[in-house]
Amino acid sequence: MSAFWVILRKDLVVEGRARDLLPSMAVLALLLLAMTGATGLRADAAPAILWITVAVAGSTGLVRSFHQETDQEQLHGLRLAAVDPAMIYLAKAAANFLIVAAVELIAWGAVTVFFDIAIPQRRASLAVVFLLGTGSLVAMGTLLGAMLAAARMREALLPMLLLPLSAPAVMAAAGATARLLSEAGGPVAGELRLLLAFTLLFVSVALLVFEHVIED
Amino acid sequence: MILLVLAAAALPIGILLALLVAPVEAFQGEPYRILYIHVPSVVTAYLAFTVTFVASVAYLITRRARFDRLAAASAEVGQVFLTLVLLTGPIWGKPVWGAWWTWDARLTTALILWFIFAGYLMLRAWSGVQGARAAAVVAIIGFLDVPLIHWSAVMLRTLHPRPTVFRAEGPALPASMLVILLFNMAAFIVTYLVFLTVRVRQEAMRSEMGKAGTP
Repeated sequence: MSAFWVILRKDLVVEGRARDLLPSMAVLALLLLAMTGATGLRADAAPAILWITVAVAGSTGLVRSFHQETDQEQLHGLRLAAVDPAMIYLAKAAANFLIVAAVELIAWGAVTVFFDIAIPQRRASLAVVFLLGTGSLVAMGTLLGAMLAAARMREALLPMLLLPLSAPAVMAAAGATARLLSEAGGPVAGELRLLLAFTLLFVSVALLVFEHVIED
Repeated sequence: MILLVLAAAALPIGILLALLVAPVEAFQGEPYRILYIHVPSVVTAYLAFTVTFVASVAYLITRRARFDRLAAASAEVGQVFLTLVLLTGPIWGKPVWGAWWTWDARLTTALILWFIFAGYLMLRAWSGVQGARAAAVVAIIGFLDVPLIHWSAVMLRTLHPRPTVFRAEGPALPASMLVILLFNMAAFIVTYLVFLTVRVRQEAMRSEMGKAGTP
């Protein structure tokens, strides 16, 4: 278990010092939200815009999270240190989760302002949608980021794969968010189940195949 | 070779049966005949992606290049048939539903699946032999994603009611239509097998050439 914390801490320290991911993702998210707001979309489109924005901004960051492990062969080092590949995946995913969640918090703030959304009533359910939606994106994005770390054209490929592959999660998260923000309301248990199933399925697949993905 | 002859004969016969022999549908009139292309294309595309999924799992486990070539070839051909589905669907939808497109669960699933395999094919094109493992993983994830995409689309649709023109399927097809539909399905699947065989053979030759050092 300690390897998990070491890698997670290392990633957060690197991000804290280099600030490679968070600022560029956050600014891209703000820009996309400002553009959609400026072009006249109304509040009822906000949940969909929010989640698509997070997915797009996330995909630009997640592709780089593993690149920093390959540009100087650091992944080899981790493998030589006999770290369980599953731990590498989980630790990288946890670090990515924290970074994407931070981007998403900023995006939520911007959406509230730009689209003039009332302070939501059902905050607990919204928090669960937030966690599971982010978890789905990161579970998929971390696996893809690792697979594509050494690939040519990875910056173009990752969004093209992450966006359609995470489409069900984005659709469910946007649908649940819309319902939680609307006056009419309605249950979101179905969406939450889908997000949970999505996260569990692809974390399991990632743990199964991760060894194949990072070996040379 | 036998497959090629079969496909070359069955495809035009199937089209002629669909256009000349199949009876006119009572509600939809003539435009319904696109069914005989649309439905066999769907079946063939999903069959092809299933083959890609199975071959990708086999490749990850055994690491034998022939499974990788089979997965790649089947995905290519599957994508051609899925493109045909997405082109014939709106042509059929416009006269019958009154709309080119609707975000029905099956349409949404087919479209997103098309994007997933577009990404898959680009990954293969750009990363060559080294990308085989990554491609296998993408194929596996993409295939497992299909039920989730369908599920999420069904759920979203309950928020927005379906267009009234777009009703649930009517009764099962009468035999005169069903036989022709099944014939066309068989013809399309044989055509898929022809393309698949050709592409697998080409890729096998290419890798032989690579080994022999010829450019």
